[in-house]
Amino acid sequence: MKYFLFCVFFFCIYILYEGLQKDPNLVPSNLISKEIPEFSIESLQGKNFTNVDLENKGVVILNFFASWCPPCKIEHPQLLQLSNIIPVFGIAKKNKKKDLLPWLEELGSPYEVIGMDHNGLQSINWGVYGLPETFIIQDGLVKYRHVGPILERDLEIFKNLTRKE
Amino acid sequence: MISEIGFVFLTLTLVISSFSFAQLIYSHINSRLFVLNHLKITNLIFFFTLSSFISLTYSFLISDFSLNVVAQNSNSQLPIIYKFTGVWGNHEGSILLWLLVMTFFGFLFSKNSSATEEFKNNVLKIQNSLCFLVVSFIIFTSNPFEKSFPYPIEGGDLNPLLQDPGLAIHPPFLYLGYVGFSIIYSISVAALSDGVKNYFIKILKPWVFISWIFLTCGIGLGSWWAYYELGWGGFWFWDPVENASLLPWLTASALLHTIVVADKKKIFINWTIILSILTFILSLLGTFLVRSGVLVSVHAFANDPTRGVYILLLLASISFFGIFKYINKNTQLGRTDISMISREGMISLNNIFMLSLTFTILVGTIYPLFASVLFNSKISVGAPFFNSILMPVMFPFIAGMIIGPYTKWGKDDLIVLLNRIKILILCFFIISLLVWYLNYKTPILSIIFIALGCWIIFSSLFEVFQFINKKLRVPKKIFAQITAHIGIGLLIIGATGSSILKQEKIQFQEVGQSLKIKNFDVEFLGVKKIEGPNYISQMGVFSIKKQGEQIKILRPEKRFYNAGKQVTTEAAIHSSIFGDLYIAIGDVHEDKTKWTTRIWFNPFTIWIWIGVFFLALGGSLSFLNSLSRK
Repeated sequence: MKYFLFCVFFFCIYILYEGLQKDPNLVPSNLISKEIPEFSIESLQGKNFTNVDLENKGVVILNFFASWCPPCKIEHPQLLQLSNIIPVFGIAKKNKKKDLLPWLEELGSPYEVIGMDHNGLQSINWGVYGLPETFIIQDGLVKYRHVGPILERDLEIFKNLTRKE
Repeated sequence: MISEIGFVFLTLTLVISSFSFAQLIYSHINSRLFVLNHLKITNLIFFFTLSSFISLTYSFLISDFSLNVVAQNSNSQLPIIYKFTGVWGNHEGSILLWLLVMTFFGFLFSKNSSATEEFKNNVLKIQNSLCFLVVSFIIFTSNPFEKSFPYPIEGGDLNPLLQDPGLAIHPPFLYLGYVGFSIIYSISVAALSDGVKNYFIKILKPWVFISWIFLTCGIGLGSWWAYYELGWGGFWFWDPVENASLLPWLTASALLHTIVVADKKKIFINWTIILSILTFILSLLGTFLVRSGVLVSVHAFANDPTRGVYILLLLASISFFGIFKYINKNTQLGRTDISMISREGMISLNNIFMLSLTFTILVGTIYPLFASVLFNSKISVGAPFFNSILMPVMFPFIAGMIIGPYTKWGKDDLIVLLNRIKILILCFFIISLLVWYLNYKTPILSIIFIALGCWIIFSSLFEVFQFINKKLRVPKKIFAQITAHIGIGLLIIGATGSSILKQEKIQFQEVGQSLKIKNFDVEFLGVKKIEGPNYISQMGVFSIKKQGEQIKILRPEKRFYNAGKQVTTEAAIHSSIFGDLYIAIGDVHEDKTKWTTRIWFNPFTIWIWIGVFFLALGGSLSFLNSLSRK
């Protein structure tokens, strides 16, 4: 009984210790190392934007955003910086063109193509539940998912993940 | 200069308390080698810690930005009161406050006359060792006197949410409770090495009451602050940090009941010691969960993994020492046979329910952590889980609370007992019908719980009535118990009202538009811009009408703080004994004429705070009682 009690005690301490090493804010995605979902939506320029556009470009970034989302404004400078290194694509969730255009004009556009997710369906397919969210895609496979704005301290992670390949 | 002196005092505390620690460790190897006077050590470390704390406070008041903690959490524009409360509005300062309270309790204990010198010495040896562990944590991982050069000319900002009188008193009260349990732990562990003489119960008793009162007030104030300041429209969210404070409160409440019996009947000594040690372990576990950032919580503290490891080490060694001492105690604590239907039986039932509740809430709180380590999966356990486990435990719990005070000590008979309270049971029936008649439209669960709340209050009043009927004075002890039980009854009614019966409306409201909620008409009159001392505010103006007659103007605010660029919501509340009308204002709509407004009607919320007041009052009466009977 004595020893059993001590075993339980040390087990609990061990779990708490292991727990310290983990970041509770990290959210996994079911899409990691899987193929990106198929989609075909209208782009801001009125053309077609599909999953094929993301597949044959090596490493790319796909960013879910909207002009009505304040944190998206916070991550914008970081996206502009990243767009100098790798191609950045965007999907604007439930955004009207007349709101989006002045927003891009004011802040500058890091995006090669912007898809218009008018009804929010694409966001659901990708498992996006809040804006902004960002995916790193390599040869059509999802490599990394970032929830929330990309802050300056996150830039290193992004640069490392996109540089290696 | 002053801050250097503060650091010197802190180092002195470390050095001096290390003597106690060294002896505690060494006495296990060679018991009578050297004997120190731990009373003197206690006095010294209290004055050194106090001086250190005063230096830090002084640095905050004069805005000495060369200290990192001042530069990050205070600025020169801050009102003086918040410069002062900012001392504990951050991790480093709050742990220093923790240490101050810990040494203060030791100091108070050393002045306590009822214990023998030898027992006092043993208790303070343990208490000083605890202080040593905490002060080394402060110096090595969270030194408030850390400096940087060149230092900034202007500081950051105290988190705007903390710029509220609620913060000024909530953490100190909570700490007085949490840390008060350290002395209870020290007394119990010292009693274990002392062969568990019965007199330790008398020494322990006032400390249990005083810590429990402070923790009750601390939790109550925190909940009150969340309700009035955060604008979430609720008072309890089952957040890990809230649970962390509830867990020791539950075991302390069990201890409170146990120790009364232990004092009177010399039984339950085992219970008393286990609960004392467990309560302090849970306080430390709470601190670990809150400060290490292992769980996702709405309460943000600056997290640092090295701190987490250190607190874990502290938690592990203190709990290990307590458990080790308990298991290796020399004396066998005899068990007396207790009849189920008796006062003792009811109290042990109470303990069992309290502990199972504690265990379930503990599992719910740390399960996400276990799941992420063991199964690598992400799980969140929230309010629905806690509410659903709370309910089944509540019924036997309330039943025990009602029947308990009417049972006799020793042995009682169920039939005789029921016969004794037959009038009461009849009254319960009438009350239930009355509650049902008044609320027949509302969900059945709310009717049950409000009726149960009324039962508790009524059965407590019935106790008073019995004494008056026999032309006897109500004994002080009974009076304290009745007061606290009425508090629980009020709390149940308040909590039921503001959770199950809550009405909520969220909408875009146009200027001039009027909305109906409960029997109020809420008309939105517009938004004003207001400038405060260190913030700009958007103040919504709402006219509240009841049957066409204006009764009040409510002004909820949304404040934008300049320094940290943060936004806070200040809800506006119209309180009455039947419920609170609660309004919070959000953002403006694109077309500039509509605003997001959130309007709640929270029935009976005010009774929660009154209930907490009654609980604290009952605790205080018991405390005074335990002092005067010494």
